[in-house]
Amino acid sequence: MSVDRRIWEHPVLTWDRGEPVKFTFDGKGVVAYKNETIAAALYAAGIMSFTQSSILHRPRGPFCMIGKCSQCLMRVNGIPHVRTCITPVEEGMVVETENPHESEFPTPVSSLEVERKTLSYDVIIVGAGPAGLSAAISAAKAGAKVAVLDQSPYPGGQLVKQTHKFFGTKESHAGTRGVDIADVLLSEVRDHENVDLYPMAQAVGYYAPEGMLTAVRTDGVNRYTLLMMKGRRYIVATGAMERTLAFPGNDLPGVMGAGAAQTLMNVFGIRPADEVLIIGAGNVGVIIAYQAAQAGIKVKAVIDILPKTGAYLVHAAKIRRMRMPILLRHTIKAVYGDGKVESAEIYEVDENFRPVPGSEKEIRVDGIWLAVGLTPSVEMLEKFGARMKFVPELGGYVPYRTQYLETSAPGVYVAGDASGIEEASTAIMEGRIAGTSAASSLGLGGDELEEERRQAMEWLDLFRESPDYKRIKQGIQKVLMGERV
Amino acid sequence: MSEKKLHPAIICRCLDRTQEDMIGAFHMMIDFLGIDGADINAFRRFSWGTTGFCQGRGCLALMQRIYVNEMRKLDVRISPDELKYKARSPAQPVPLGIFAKNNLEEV
Amino acid sequence: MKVLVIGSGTIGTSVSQELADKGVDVEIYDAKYLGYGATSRSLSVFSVQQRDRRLVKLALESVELAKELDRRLKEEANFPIGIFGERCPHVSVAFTERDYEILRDYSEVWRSEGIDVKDVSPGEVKEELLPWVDENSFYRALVTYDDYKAFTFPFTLGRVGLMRMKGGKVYKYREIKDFDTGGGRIKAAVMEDGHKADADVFVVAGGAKSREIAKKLDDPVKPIRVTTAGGFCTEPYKYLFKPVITVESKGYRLTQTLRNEFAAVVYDMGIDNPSYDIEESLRLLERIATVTVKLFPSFAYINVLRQWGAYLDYTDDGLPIVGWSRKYENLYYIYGFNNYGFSIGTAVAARAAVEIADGRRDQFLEDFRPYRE
Ligand SMILES: Cc1cc2nc3c(=O)[nH]c(=O)nc-3n(C[C@H](O)[C@H](O)[C@H](O)COP(=O)(O)OP(=O)(O)OC[C@H]3O[C@@H](n4cnc5c(N)ncnc54)[C@H](O)[C@@H]3O)c2cc1C
Repeated sequence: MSVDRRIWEHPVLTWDRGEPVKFTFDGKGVVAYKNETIAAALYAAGIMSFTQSSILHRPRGPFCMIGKCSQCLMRVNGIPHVRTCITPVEEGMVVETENPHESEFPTPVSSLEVERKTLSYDVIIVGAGPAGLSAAISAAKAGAKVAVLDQSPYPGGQLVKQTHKFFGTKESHAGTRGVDIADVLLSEVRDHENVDLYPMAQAVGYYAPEGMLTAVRTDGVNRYTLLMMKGRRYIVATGAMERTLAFPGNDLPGVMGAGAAQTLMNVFGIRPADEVLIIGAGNVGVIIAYQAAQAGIKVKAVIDILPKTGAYLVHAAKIRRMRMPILLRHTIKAVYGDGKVESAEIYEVDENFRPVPGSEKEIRVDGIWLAVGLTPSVEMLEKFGARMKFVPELGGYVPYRTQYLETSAPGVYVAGDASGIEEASTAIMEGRIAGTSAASSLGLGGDELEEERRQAMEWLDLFRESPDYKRIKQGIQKVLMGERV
Repeated sequence: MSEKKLHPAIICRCLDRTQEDMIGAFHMMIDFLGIDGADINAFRRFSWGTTGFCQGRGCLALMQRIYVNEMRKLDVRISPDELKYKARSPAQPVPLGIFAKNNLEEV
Repeated sequence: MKVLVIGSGTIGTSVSQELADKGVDVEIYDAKYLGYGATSRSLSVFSVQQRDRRLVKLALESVELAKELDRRLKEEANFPIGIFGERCPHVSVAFTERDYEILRDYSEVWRSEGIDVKDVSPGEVKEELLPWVDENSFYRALVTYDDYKAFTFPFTLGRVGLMRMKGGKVYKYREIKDFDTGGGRIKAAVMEDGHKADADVFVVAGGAKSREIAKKLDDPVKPIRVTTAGGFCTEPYKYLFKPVITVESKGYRLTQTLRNEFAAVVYDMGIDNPSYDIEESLRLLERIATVTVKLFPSFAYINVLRQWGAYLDYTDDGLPIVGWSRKYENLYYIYGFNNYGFSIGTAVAARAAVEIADGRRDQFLEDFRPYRE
């Protein structure tokens, strides 16, 4: 009997998986669904080991599920190095494993089809999360011609993966589930005829000599669209990247980033594991523990090296009520297993983060999820030439910016986690500030636009009044520039 | 606990560099270039980190940490701003045919 | 004797290491990180396909020196990998009959130095060397068999290691901004923060930026042209593609590197680059992609991993600039290495080191002097 790790019953989510499609994996038939990517379909079929590492020949499985970590590379229809986690399945596809360092040259079954589009916009927004979508709505209201690019097939950014209700102010959609906020923002974006949304379009570069932003949309293994775009203003709302940790066994299939686990569970409706250990008891770790339970996965423990959880107490209390152990002052020693995760060894640390002798515990799990923090995704900002600084309070390297979120690169704005790690509510408000500012710098909009910006800035200030934001506010001071002239 | 194989801690998944390999590469860099010649770019070159399929997304942050820690052992304090390494385009590996034009005369 | 070398490219590091070997006290200063300039953007192929007989001779000499360096790095510095690969074929492709005629003229130069050259049809190229090539895509090709691939970084950084073993020093992020001069001599090099470094001899190996140094010193040396160049590198694949491919008419070169990646470069985009910009450009990517796919259609599916911009220093006669300044008796210039800093520069740097350390003039370098017309 073949394995099926798909979730067919869930308290909140349902999935439109599409029609069944068949493909072969190393010669064996696999049944998948049209709306799945190759990696998702393989995971659903119980396959965890996707490649052999290049030198040590270790088995590896997907770690990020968004086309970045390179642990899911396979040969598809004779094309080597296909990122299977972002490539949709197609009927009759031939999928094969290979050592990516030693792969044969391409032997494609069909030639590459590229559609080239040259486009101009008033405002081009990279990233369709809460910040990018909000920016698009604000700029569009002012009458700007707007494009929004996102690498994912499902715009909405991190919101899409959130099944819990948000709190905060009404203006930032408090009381609504993340997925639903994404829907609200998206439908508002779609109401504006002057906004073009480009899902599955990965911005690959900004070329200063040509003044051109290029993005590539993958329409299939052999079909691509190359978007060559010129914007009068740009807003970078690329969100954040997950941090990783170095520990023995950190590359075993089954160890993955929290985001990858969320993508599998919530986007594709696939159980990434049966029993997990979650590393990191901040908001992400705690929320994902709750989501795991919703998906029918047993959370053996949520551990954090710090003496107190960084998560909102409501969330932490909720998972404690569900009897999931949150072990503070604990960290991971090693992960064991033959070809995949079989168990994890954790230990306690003292106030100086030194191991407490004899505190080692072994936990049997088949999944380890890392929720050890986020760091701003600033690559595109670098390509625009924005000046950056390392600000620990904001999670890493972030751009200098004005109060209107314009960076040191003229006409290039930043919003959301890319400007510093905060959360969806602040991302929405930053998006509005960047969107209104970009539009108004083009001479668009009038008093209403000014008013919207004023309000967004006021809400943002109000939100950041909370003591939790003291550190973040200090961080922002370090990269705040005077107004541009 | 039954006898279990202790796996290496992998820093660079793409080119299979373990924590030990990375620390070894760091010290080789210091042997060759000295502290005055070393920097994050040289570390990348001695270790091959950031040059694989993931374009540094998996390893750079871990490498920066190793760099700071190992330098501290040599009594050198490194500010994170010195460790900024500008990632190159394309931001995602893309088939080169995407950028090919039909005629040689056009390029 | 103490020598201060400006620039840690392949030229600066080669001269320095050769000097250190002769017991000279050497210090290298670079404005950026080590190897920052053209060197770290190079394909570092050692090629005999040069346009001048003197250069072909030097290219052959460079290969022997590089083999020796490879041996020493392994034996003296325990360097874990080889830095110099095997001999490989070099296929120069002519897209048109006209390109072919130009190539044939160059090949006479190669032949005159005893290099074996084969004039082959596209079918023969496909059959014997490159099964992936589209034989309808080009007119003819000329093939030589005496080129070598080197590992760019170990080559330069390894040299720094050998030099330091002999007591040499190297400093990153120290730009030489000015000089203290007097009595027809350079007394000290001055850095941005006012820090001064003195030496008996100063060597300018700043690549394209050397012209700024000469300008600062108001020394009327031969002008150079600085052009925009660049390249890209792909993901690694099984090492099957041994030859080096050049398309002279597009300033294009491609090979699979010793790290299994494909690296392709354009030497001269036909754009002058007065600001030494190293910005990545779309047109560079397009040129490399177009030529590559034209020749090797299935390579359309090879993934580009990273690209880079570069600048190169060209002289109008195609020869480098090597020798003592006439204005300052202890100032030595060595730059203008076009697209052959590894191929030719390796031998020239070794010869220059002899001139600097022993004060002897090398007859072979006479044609490269800084004040020639
Ligand atoms: C894309 C490309 C491909 C190439 N392929 C090949 C090839 O296959 N084979 C081959 O033989 N050659 C090749 N070349 C050419 C070769 O790389 C160059 O000729 C060679 O690197 C030049 O070395 P250099 O040391 O003279 O200059 P550079 O490498 O430019 O080094 C000069 C250094 O001096 C420093 N500097 C400048 N001014 C100052 C100052 N005032 N103070 C302190 N430091 C200063 C700079 O920062 C720089 O690091 C290629 C070049 C390019 C760009």
